[in-house]
Amino acid sequence: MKASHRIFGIIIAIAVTAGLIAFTFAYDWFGPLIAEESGNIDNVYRWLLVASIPFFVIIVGIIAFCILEFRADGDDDDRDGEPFHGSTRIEIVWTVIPTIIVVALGIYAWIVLDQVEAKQPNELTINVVGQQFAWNYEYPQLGVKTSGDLVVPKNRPLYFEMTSVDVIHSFYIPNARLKRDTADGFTTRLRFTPDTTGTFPIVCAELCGIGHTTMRGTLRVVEPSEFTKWVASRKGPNAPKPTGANTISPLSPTGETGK
Amino acid sequence: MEAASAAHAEHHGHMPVANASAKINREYFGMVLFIVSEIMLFASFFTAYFFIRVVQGEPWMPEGQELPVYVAMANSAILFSSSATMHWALEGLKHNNRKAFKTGLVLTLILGSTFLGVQISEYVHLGFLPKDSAQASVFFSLTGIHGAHVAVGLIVLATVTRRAFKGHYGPEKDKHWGVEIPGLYWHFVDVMWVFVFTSLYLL
Amino acid sequence: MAASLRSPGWYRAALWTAIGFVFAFALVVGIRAAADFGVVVQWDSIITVALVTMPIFFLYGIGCFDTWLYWISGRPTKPDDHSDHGAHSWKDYFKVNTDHKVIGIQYIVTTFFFFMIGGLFAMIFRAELLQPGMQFIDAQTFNGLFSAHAALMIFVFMVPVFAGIANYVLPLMLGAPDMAFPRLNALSFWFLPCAGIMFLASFLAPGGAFATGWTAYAPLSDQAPLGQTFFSMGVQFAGASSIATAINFLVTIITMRAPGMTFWRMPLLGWANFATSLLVVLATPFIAGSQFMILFDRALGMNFFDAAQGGDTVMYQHVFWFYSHPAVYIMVLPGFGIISEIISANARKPVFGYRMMAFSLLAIVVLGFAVWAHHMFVAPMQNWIRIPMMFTTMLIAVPTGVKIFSWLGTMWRGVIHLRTPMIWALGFMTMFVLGGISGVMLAVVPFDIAVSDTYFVVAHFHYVLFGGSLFTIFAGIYHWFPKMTGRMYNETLGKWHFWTTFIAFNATFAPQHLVGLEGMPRRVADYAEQFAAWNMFISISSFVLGASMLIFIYNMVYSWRSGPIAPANPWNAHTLEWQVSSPPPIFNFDDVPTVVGHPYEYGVPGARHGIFKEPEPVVAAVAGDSSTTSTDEGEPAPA
Repeated sequence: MKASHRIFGIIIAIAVTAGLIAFTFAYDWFGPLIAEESGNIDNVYRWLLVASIPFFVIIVGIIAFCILEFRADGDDDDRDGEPFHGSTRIEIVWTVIPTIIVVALGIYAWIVLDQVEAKQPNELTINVVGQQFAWNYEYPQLGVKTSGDLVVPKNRPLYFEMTSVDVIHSFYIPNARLKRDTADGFTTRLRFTPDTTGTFPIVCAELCGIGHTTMRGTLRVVEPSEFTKWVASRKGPNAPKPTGANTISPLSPTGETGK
Repeated sequence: MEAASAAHAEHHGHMPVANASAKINREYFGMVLFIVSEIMLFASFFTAYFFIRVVQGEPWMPEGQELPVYVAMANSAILFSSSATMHWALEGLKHNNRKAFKTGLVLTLILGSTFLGVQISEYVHLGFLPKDSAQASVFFSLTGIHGAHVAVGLIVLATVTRRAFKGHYGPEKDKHWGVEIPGLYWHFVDVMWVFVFTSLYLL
Repeated sequence: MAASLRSPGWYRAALWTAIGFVFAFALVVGIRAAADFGVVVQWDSIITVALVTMPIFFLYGIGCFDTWLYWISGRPTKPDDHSDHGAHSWKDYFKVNTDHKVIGIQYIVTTFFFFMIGGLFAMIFRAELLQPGMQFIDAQTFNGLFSAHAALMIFVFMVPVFAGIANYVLPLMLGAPDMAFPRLNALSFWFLPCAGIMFLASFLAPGGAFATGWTAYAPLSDQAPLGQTFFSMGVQFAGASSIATAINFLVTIITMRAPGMTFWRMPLLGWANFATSLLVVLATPFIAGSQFMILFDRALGMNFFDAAQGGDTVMYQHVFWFYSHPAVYIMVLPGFGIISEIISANARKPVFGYRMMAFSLLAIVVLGFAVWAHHMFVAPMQNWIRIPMMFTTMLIAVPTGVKIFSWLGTMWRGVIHLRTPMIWALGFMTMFVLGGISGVMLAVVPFDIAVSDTYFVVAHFHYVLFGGSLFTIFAGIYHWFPKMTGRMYNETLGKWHFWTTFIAFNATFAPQHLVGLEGMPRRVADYAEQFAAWNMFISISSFVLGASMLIFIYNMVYSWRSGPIAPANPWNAHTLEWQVSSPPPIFNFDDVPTVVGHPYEYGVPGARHGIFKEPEPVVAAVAGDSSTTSTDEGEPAPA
């Protein structure tokens, strides 16, 4: 193969890499994002892809190149290849460079993780209890209990404290990119701030028995004013008696800011 | 394919002797590896112990489920001395002292059976059951699995003893493995008891 | 009839299996009656005990223990003339045999039997997932099918099939006449059908098959119906099989190499199985422990996982994954060894960076024990554990990358023969890189929080286990098929098999990344409308994937019966197994060869790996000649 072919090959590889990276950023991989903090999770994914694409292109490219360039002339070709056994220099290179890349990505991910899980001011606490096969919610600050539909106000940081009364479940909100298992005897935590109104799925992500598939609920993110109304309606004569703390308003000055 | 291998069977009648690329006896080494995997089996139950007692911080043992430490201590002494008699038996064999060999084996069997008997009687008199708490589950499974190992060891040693009285084994290098390998297993069972006893009864 | 009931074989096995059941029944009923437990005939307990006694009595009946029992009882044992070596007809493969070559074939055929059933299960539940809503099967059956699919594929296919290939090839490669413990080897094989049949029999249990996934997370598995016991018990048998084989491999590799074969002259398949066996010996007892806890909870009412009693469900996950993550390496490291053999033989090149290849295997073994909790990033585990586990997991990419790059280096400036095994090897490299990339992604905690327990994970591990491990299995089976059967496989069909599988595999599993990213959880029988289009595509592709296996089966069966006779060394490879006839003589070698050089010195003038006592390893001189005459010509007259 001539040198011009090699240059042509390298150009193709670069073009493919660039195309794949462009695709990484152009394609809508996830559904709509409703949690501002979790935007960084999407970014982590994209940067992981960007770091991986060159490796994939190089490996597949070299395989393709070897097949084209070094192919035997039929089965009767009894030549042997060049008997070199290795190269310490190149082995060091391909040990050290991936190490640096994965450590850098790990540190980046660590920073993002801390951001996603950071405690926020003025959190609305929601206690989640998983059971076969439904989610139950309690707003201890508001003295409201519900199940099925989880209603939350827009732009107010949410703080979930979760447990389970039977087997392990996993509280998963795909649009917030967040999930956490719930288990009997443990309290697990989750935080995010919904910034888009609408109805989104909540699913159980951990196999919990025969009804696992049907263990779904909805997350309804509503405007703060509507949330106040909803809380009031839950405290009507038919609703269970609130257990104190009912003077705390679901609305708060800090909750109003945002998108 | 069948024809080919049949043809070979006729031509290649003898099995070549494998090269010994390491000095260690194969059966002995196999037993060592088996013991390694046994240690890991115990380790998995010690993991349960660790999580329940240390990570969860549950009291050890729960109230009303006390363990008879002094009985277990005496019982431990019985088991440990059986390791000494086992060693005595093996040394006796290696020095062609058949009397010491046989006496050592019989003593080992008696001591091991005593340990097992005391352990079973302890189960009966404990006053609580495996289902009464997670701690009790860990206690019964660790001692139970250890007891099962003691039982297996006793069966193997009983076989060895029977053959010893038939005049098998000898001081030659290749004739004492049949005693040394079960002996190694027996020592493992005893050493494992040190860990089980210390973590369950003493700490 | 009476005689056949006394001698080892299937009649005695059937009789003793029945006796095993009666024994279990009598034992349980007897104890319950004696202890005054109320209900005397308690079927759950009887079946639980029968699951222990029946396989063991079966193993006695088929003849696994005969020699040992004779020895113990002091009766004369058969002299070790190895008269039960070799197989003379297909019936011999259904008997207890101590020949590592026969056991290797038994392993491979049995595991592929379970592989086909596991694949069939997958196609059934893919049919259910063709459209949203419930069509063919109910939720319990669905859960049972995917659980059994995983259990069969992992415990009685992927782990043991590598043991089968290595069983056949490794002693030959090392210059050993057999494995170190041939009878233990036979026993480890016969454990397998016990485990596999137990998994399958669980569908007959009241309440249906085990339906808690192959992970059997407590406390769900504590509360599940009787089928769960079949799983836990089957895992014990499969685990015992794999520990026994690993001990056998370690002893064989360490003590039975041919003279002159130092560790640094050992073929990389030997290194790979050395590393794998270390993992098995150290890790497998942990899954035994985890399933013992489940069994104790279920059968004896213990409370390992009941929070109210002080139990800890997360502990189950720690114990389980301490095995089950290394299990992933158990299922892929032998494949790495196979690929090294195939690439160097088909590129006519020494393996690039041989020592680093061996060291990277050991690095994976060591790191493999320090990453288990990455399966638990969303579990109720202490948060700080996630960070070290993330870094160790990501670092495993480094030794794995070293292997990939070294294979590329091995191909560079070689003379590449694109035979079927080589094509599978190259397909493995591309697919395994994809699986590795998504693996590094999943190691990243924030991203894992988003996609764990979704189809993204399903896609990832199928890229690793199907595109990775299974492709190496196919590569290895094609590569050693001439050695095992003495016949050549059909190249054209082999290539058809590769391309149909490769395309259908990608069509099946690549879209699963996308639906996973969009939030489709795994292990669900029904899904939201938004995933319908991709799921239909995935299901149809999976049927094509299943059909592509028929090409393989046809090729194997047809070629074994009537393929062209294979020469001793069709690939002109240097390792020892190719220097004997195809199939090898009954005791592998007339005299153990002497190793004088490295195994992969292709292109090095005058380089030799092994020297045989015969004047000349005739096979190399008359490559292409029929196997039945090749080694016999140069044989010295019997003394």
